[in-house]
Formats: sequence, C-alpha cells, structure tokens
Amino acid sequence: MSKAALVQHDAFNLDIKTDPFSGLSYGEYQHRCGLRLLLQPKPGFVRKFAAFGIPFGSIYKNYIDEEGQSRAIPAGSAHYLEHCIFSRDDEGGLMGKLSALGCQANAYTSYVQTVYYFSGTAAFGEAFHIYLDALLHPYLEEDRVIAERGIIGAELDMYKDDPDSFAFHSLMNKLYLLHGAKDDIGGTRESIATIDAQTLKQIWARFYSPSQMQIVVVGDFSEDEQKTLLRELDRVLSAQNWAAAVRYRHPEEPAAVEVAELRLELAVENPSFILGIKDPYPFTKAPLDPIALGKRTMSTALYLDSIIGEGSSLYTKLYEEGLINDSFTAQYLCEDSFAFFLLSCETEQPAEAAERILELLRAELNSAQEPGEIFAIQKKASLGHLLRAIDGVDSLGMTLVQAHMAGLELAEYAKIIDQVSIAEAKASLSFLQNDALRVTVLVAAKGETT
Amino acid sequence: MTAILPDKLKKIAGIIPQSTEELAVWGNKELPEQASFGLALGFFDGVHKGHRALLDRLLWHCKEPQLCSAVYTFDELPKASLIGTAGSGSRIQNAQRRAAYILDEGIDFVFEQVFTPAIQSLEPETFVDYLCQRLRIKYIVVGDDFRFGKARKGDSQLLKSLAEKHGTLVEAVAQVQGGGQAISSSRIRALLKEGRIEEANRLLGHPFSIVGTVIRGRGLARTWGMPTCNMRLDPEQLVLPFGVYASRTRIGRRYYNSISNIGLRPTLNANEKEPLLETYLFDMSADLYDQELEVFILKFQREESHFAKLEEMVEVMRDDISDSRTYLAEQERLQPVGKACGIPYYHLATTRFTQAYLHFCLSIPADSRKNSARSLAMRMVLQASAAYPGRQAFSLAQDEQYGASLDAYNDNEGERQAFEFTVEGITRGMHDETPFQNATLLLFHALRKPLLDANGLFDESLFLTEQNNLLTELKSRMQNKAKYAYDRSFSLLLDGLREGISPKGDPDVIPTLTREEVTQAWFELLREARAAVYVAGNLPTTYHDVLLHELEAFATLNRKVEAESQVRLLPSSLKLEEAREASEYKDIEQTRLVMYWSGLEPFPLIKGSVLNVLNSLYGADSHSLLFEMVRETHGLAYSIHSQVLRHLSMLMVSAGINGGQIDQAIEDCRNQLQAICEGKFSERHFQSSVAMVESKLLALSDSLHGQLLYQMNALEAGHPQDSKEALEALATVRPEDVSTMASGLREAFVYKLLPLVQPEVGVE
Repeated sequence: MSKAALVQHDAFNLDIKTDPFSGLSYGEYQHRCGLRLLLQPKPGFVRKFAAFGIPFGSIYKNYIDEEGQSRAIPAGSAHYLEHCIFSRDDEGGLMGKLSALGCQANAYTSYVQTVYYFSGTAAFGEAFHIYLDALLHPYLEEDRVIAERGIIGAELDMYKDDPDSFAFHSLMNKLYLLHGAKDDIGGTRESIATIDAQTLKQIWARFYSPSQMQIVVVGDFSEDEQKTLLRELDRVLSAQNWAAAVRYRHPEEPAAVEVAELRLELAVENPSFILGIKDPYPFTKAPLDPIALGKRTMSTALYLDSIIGEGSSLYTKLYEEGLINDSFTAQYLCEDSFAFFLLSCETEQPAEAAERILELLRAELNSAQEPGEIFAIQKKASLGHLLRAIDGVDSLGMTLVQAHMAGLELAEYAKIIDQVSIAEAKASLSFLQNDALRVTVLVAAKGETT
Repeated sequence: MTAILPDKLKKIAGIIPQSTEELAVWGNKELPEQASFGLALGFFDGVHKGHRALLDRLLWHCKEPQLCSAVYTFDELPKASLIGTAGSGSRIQNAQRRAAYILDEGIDFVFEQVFTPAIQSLEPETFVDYLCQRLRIKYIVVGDDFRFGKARKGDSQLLKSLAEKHGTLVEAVAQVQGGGQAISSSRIRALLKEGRIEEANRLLGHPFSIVGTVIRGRGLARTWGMPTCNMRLDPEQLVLPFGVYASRTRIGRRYYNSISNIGLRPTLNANEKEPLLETYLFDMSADLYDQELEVFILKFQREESHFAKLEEMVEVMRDDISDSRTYLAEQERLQPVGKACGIPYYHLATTRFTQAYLHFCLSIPADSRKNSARSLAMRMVLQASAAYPGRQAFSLAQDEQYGASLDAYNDNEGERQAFEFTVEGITRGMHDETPFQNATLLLFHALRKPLLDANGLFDESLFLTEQNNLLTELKSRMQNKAKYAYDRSFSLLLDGLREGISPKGDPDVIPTLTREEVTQAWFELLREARAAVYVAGNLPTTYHDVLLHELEAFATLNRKVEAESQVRLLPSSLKLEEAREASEYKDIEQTRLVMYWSGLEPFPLIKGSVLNVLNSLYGADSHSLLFEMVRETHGLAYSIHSQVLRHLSMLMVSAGINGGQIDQAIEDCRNQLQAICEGKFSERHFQSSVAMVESKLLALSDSLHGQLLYQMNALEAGHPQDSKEALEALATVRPEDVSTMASGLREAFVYKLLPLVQPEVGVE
C-alpha cells in the first residue's frame, strides 16, 4: 500500500482538499492551459481509474466558427463524435490498444457532457496517454465516419425498440420548443446522415479543447507515478496552443409546450404514461451557481422521496390502489440550462393514473403538514448512499467526475445534504402547479403478430 | 474450508455381502440392495483439488443413470507412494477426516479396504475381477497417473481394457494443475512440512486441519490473559514445523479466529517430549476441556523459540496475536463462520470497505407451478412483514438504516430455481449505529415472519396487489426486446425440460395461484431448500452471533437439516439433439439474434481460466472477434457479446443486428468461432484476452461485492478459489488450449427475432 503524498509540478497549481465527512483527501491540479485534474489517492487498491470530462453534450445546437459565423450542429453530433474517438485501425483502435493493456474503457454522452473513462490494474500511465492522445488527436476521416454511421443507426433502432426510451424522447420533443433538450441524444437516422468528417472535425476543434476538459484519476499512485503523470500531461498540453473555452448561449425557451398530450401506440405489453412539467427557472437564472443547483437538486430529491417515494404514505396509497407499481418514478432533473419534472408508470389506466397522481402530489405540495420526520430519514439514507458510492475505485471516480463536471466538490455533498430544507424544495417545485408547461404522453399497446 | 461435521458420519461395517477381508463402509445412508455403482479409485489423502476434479466427474456421471457414487480406497497408503515421506504419521488427514471430506463432496459411500498382504499381492487382472465381482460397477474414474495391483503394475489403460470385459466404463482424468505443476498429495505434504501453509491450502482447496480433544494443561497462559486450549497431535497425521500459526478453530458448528502454537514449549518446559497444539481463541471464552476441536492452520508466523525470560515471551506472544488478528481481519477470503439448521454461513473479512453485503442463497428443484408461487412469495416478503405490516413502514425501516437496501432475485440454476436475498449497507453509522446488522435482522425477520393473516396465509390485500404487480413485471420484461429474445430462445431451447421452466413465473399460472398454495410454497422453500449465507464486510463477532441466532430460528419452521441442504450443485447433464433453428416475427426495429453452443466441460471452473480467455476472445470484450469483426469490420451488429451459461455448460451469443443482415451475421459468428477452433487468431487478440481476464481478476480485489460474488460462485460450484489462484492458472493458458476447448463446442440452437417489416439490406 502506498501512502504517497501528492506531488507538485511547476505547470500546475495544486490545491489539496479534504472531505471531513468521508475523510478523503485529494489534489486538484490546474494546468496553465485551463485543464483541471483531480487526483484522488486510494491507498491499498490495485485498480486505477481515469475519466476525461468534456462539457459538450447533445443540447448544443450551434457554435461560432473561426470566421465568426454561426454554424448549426446536427442533432446527435456529440454522440457521433464519441463513437469516432474509438475508431478502429489495425491494432483495434483505442479499444484494442487499451484491451492489450488489460484496461476496460467506455464513454457516455448525455445532454450536457461527454465522459470518457477507463480503469485497469497495470500500465495505467501508458493507457492514460493513449486515451488522451485519442481525444486530442482523433482519427476523423470520411471512411471511419461513414462506417460508424451504420453502427449508430443500429443503436438508434435499439432505443426505438425500448418503449420507455421512445416515450421519454417523445415527451422531451413536445416539452421543449427551441432548447437542445428537444432532440434525442443520439439524433435521428436523418440527422446523422448529415454529419460528415468535416462537421466532426470542426466540432472537435471547438469543444474538445483541454482548456475546458476535466480529468479525474483515482488509485494508489506512488510519488514517481504521479510525477510521470503530471510531466507527461504537461508535455502534451504544452505542445500546442489550444482553443479557449467556448462560450455558448442556449436559445431562449418559451414558457409553453408543443402539445399538452401525446398518444402513442407502441409494441408494448403494459400501457403506461410519462408526464413532464418544464421548469422555467434555469431560463431566467442561467448560468446557475453550482452550489445553488446542487441544493435545488438535493432538496427536491429528498422532498420527493418524502412525499411520493416508497417510504411515503402517498406512494403506499397509490400502490395499494393498484395505480402504481415498481415501475413508478417521480423525479426532478435540473441542469445548468434546463430543468423538468417527470412522473412515469406502467399502469392499466394511464390517463386516469397520471391525473390522479399529479392531483394528489399537488395537494401534498399545498399541504401545511410537512413530512419532517421522513425528510430527516431520507437525509440519513442519502448519507449512507454517498458513503457507498465512494467505497470502490470506479464508483468513486464516477462520483467525482460527475461532481466536478457540475462544478461541485465532493466535500460539498454531505454539507448540502445537511443544509437543505423542505421549504427550499417546496419553493423549487412550485412550477408543478403550472399546467401550461406540462406534457403527458400516454402509451397504449398496438396489435402485433408473433 | 469445508463445513463438514463429524456427527453426520457413520461407519457401517460388514455391509457388503460375502466380504472375506475387512472392508469398512463410510456413508450418510444405508447401502441400498441391488445398487449399481460408479467408483473413484485412489488414496485421496487430503481430498485436494485434483481429487475433487475426480469426484466431480464421478458425481456428474452417476447423476443421470442413477448410480450410487462411491470412493474405493485403502486404509493405509501403499508403501510405494510413501517414498520420501516418513511412513506412518505422514498423512494429511486421518481416515475419518478423509471419509468426511469425501462424503461432504456429495459422494454416497467410501469403501475403505484394509491393505492386507493378500490385497497387495493381487495381480492387476485379479484385482479388477475381485472388485467387479463384489460390486455392480458401471463406471470407474481414476487419475491418469493411477497405478494398481501387485508392484503397481497396472495403469489406467490396463484398467480400461480389463474393466471393459465386465461392462464397466473407465475414464482417466488429467491431473489438475496448481501453481504451474500437477497437484498431488505428496507435493502438498512436502509444502506442509516446509511450513508453506498458504500454498498447501490453495492446492488442497481447504485448510489443513488438526482435530483433537482439549486436554488439561498447567493453565499458565490463563494467568497472562491468553487462555489456550491444548490438544495432542494426531499420530496418523504429519507434523507441521514447530512454530506459531494464524488459525481458525471450529467448536461444534461455530468457527473462531485463533492463533496456534505447535511444538514443545521450550521456555515453559525444557523436558517436554511430546509436541502439543496450543490454541488461543479470539473473542471467545468458555471452558472447553474434553471438547473436540478442529484447528484450521492458515499461515506460518514464526518458528518456536526459547526465551530467557517469561516476560519476553509474553511480549512476543502479544505481538504474535496482533499479527494474527490483522492477517485474519484482512484476509478477504470466504471462511465458514458456522452452520445452523443446515445453513452454512461464510464470511469474507476485510478492513478496507465501509459497506457490507449479504447474500442468502436458496435453491430447490424447479416445478412449473411452484416456480410461479415462489416467485410471487419472493415479491411479497420484501414489501411488508409481521413486524412492519405496511409497505411504508417496511420501506422506512430500510431508509432509517442509512439507506440500506434489501433486495431479491431469482434465476435458473440448471434444474433448480434459485433465489438470492441480499442486504447492502454501511457497517457503522455516524453515531456508532450498526445499520448493516439492523438491515440483516430486518431481512431475516421478513423471511421467517412475513405478513400473514389470522389463518396463517399471506395477507390477502398484499397477495392481490403483488399478484398483479408480478404480472406487470413479467409483461414489462417482455417489452425489453433483448430480454424477450433471450427468454423466448431459452424456453424454446429447453422446451419440456426442467431446465427450461421460467424461474420468474408463468403469466398463465400466476392468476390461478391461491393464497394457500403460495403460503405453502414459501414455507416449503424455507424448510427444504438448499441454503447458504455469504457475507462480506468489516464486521465484529457480535454480528456473526446475531446472524447465526437468526439462522437457528429457522428451526421454528421445522427446517429439514439433512435433505436439500446437503445437495451438491452439479451442472445439468442436458443432452441436446442436433442443432435447431427458430425464427419469429415481432413489431420491432432491430433484429435480435441468440445463438447457443453446447459441449463445454461440465465443470468449467477446473479449466476456468481457459474458458475465460475463450469467452474474452470470442465475444465478452471489446477487442473480441465478435466485436471487432462482426460489429466493427463487417458492420453487421450494434450490440454483440458472448457469455457462459455455467449450469448448462453452454456458450451463448446475443446480438442486435443491423437491418436485413441476419444471415450474414449468423455466418460471421460461426466463422469467428471456427477461426478460434483452427487457431486462426492473432497473437494480439490472444494476449489482449489474457490481459483482460488478468485485469478483471486483479481488479476483483478492489470490489468487495465482486470478490464476494466470485468466491461465492466458486464455493457453490464446489471449487473454492480466490483471484490469486485464478491468476496462477491463467498464466498457464496457451492458445492451443483455447482452440481445443472451442473445438468441443457444438451449435445447439439459433434463434432469430425479426421485424414484421424487413428493412433493406445495409440500410443506414
């Protein structure tokens, strides 16, 4: 087990931080080009983890090019670019090279970010630089871009076969009028057909600059390993000038929805509904302060768990009435530029269930009686979940990269859990009363032959 | 470490008719009249991993034709095998322990022949005649280094030819490798005599142990606050180097951490002639005089020393105890803690993690109606309980324990329906609470005391709600096209067989279930299922006491201790006819493909490393041939992967196929497997596969849950091993081993789930 201290390097500013709740200490390094590296020691563990976070997801719809012209980004471009980073060559491409080192790699694209990650037990430094090189010098030529299109098309087909995914994307498409959250993360077969090598190269040049990249590494690193990592990273970063961070402004989203109700007939066994209510708050306040956003997310999650989660009397009532079952979800998602509330369930009478659940939920929100005791229990449960999430190398790494991409420190999580109140949550959720911002998608089974 | 107990052992003498020589029979049941036998021949000293491979083969072979399984052995080690050892007093186990370990593997009987001069002088032909005249033997399995008859003239080839005349099939099993060499009793004995205990124990597959009765000593150690149990060494057994050892000790059905000294105690008694085993048990104090203990020796700590001063010795002893405690607490290896109501409890000790995991595993023969009933009951018991009669209360009780979670899963385990109830949570709260322990209690109370009405039936409202919800869940599963394709292909593949009964329940049966039969099925499961508890985490002795107390409470349900709880899980002996194909159409966008290959060796763990490399190379990882060729190079699929179906000894491929290219994809999958059979894969692919398997094994140590599952599965399959042992085996895998294993595969079934509207070929 190594108990190496965090090392310094001239090209990086080092800030050592400690989370009093978990007892974890870590180093936050900032390179002069802007790149941030978080190094989390995990003594006694053989696995090492790294994640590269790029603040570029599917909601970005255009950018300003070198000539100052606004250029449209076709839907699905961020996801397409993620696929192409793993492009193949005679050595199996990035995946092949990492596999040869015994490393498991993957990536995901969300609305707001793309995260690349890997973990392995040996040759970590080598794998790290192979991965970084693939991100900073990707092979984005027409042959590979065309080959990847078929694979992405098959992936989109797979999502179409998933009724939950299809209904969710249909909901988002009706909930938003202009914002990028309107489109599927992967785009459509039509939109990806318009993406070529040139498109991807230009997007990569604007959004994959290290100046806005966040890297998280977790593991038991000796001082020599740390020094090598920092030295090599500095060598790569100092080798050329990188574009400055992109300033992006999302379109102004109207306080309206496209349709109030959408009926879908899909190849399902269970009818269902998914109901969304758009929260106008981020449009007026963006960009949100990360702590404020963290508090908003945490307070609403704990409050919703208290009034309609499995431990609530409302959930039990609805469950016993047969209106909901294990498939029921109620959640609020808040990102920097958009936020919405979701209710969904597979149920025999979707329209009636959606109305009644929302009605009862609104009544809870309006009730003077507050679920103080349950809220306290949910806080305690959240602390337990947090400790569990940071117990292993990979899960700790993923928790850290998500926190840092959201602009939060790990140390702030426990503090936020402690500080949030029911009053804050109720205020945040006041938009739930607004029917003008609501879309209900009702899914019914269509006839099928087997 | 095996959890066998001596009280299940009966020695039945003289049962075999017309016996002229002395022949002892060890077994758990009476010898049936007119029985036909499968036999394993050998001395089986130590019942090590190589022996267990032989016993596995025997059990698997005896399963289908309903043969009695037996080991035929001698009471004494034939002299010729003792060259280089010290004669008597050089066995790894005495005869009783050997028989106990063999029976614990699931073998019906051990025939122990007195190795008389008459027996020793039998020519190979006469020996085989002698054996086959006494017992109806249909099958014999031996190691490929087996020798028999006068002057060890006979070998496995001769045995084959001689036994064939009696209509007996003979199989010779290759020696199992460990640490790069064949595992043998003599190798293990040599390691033990050198004090290389951990290596020896790995090859054994269980720790070396010494059994004896506690005798009265001078009580000196008690005065230093370290009371020890003194035992004489077994005269039949080899003597380990004198010194101090980290150990675990079984008292009755309970195991404790301990430290042991083997030797003459020169500091205390310079004239001592007879070595003693002295053991100090941690966290346990009781008067143990005259009780039988089994001490499992785990690690050599230091040689026995003579100290000039008593104080100096006591000081060193305190350090020894501290080292031993640390070693045992950080071992991260599943060890038995105890057994209650036929339910063994194993614990993986660690100090690196803040959370803990529990798996309570149950399995019972599958039944088309009872599977549905038990599946429904499984849902109900985690919704409410007698102590927490409402769903809300039950849910909050978990949240209150820092969000600890209780869960349940069921699946097929060959011909059995298997259940896993799990607890996951942090071990210590912010104010020194014990959330994991409390959640464990919540689970076991819910299982034993579910929410019943006054008539002892599942609560009606709960029953109706969950009946409906189970149907919804099953329908929901059908909506997932990948799961649908898997379930559907599985049921078509195994149509009409017990292996093919859905473990989740049948949507046609569930609405017809009554509360009476579901209640009955639930308690029958708790009473009769094979069961075991596995826990991983940094937990104190008090946790073990609490959990064992919970297991003992299963007695109130009249749990059968000896029936299913002793069943050894064996791979299915499924014999599939020729390859079949089925196509079905559904309203889907993406074509799904599921392919099955049968013919993996029935006990893949023995060659687990080869199988893991084969699976990685074929389709389990992103450098695999399926991923690189079928997906990336030929662009035929988006998702494609292979996996091993351990209980069916099969390999499966599951894929989502790009529009209209199903036939090319099937052909490509076949071609890639054929390439492996013919060794037509690159060095890069092979090395990447080895590196991936190696990395996953190394990384296991960083995931407490991963370690628990790995060791639990190995133990359930009868081949306990940790990732270190698997890594050793991996280092010996060659490309030709992978080709040989792949060549044994036969295509069994191809299932295509096609869209109603066929897309054009190559559509983008």
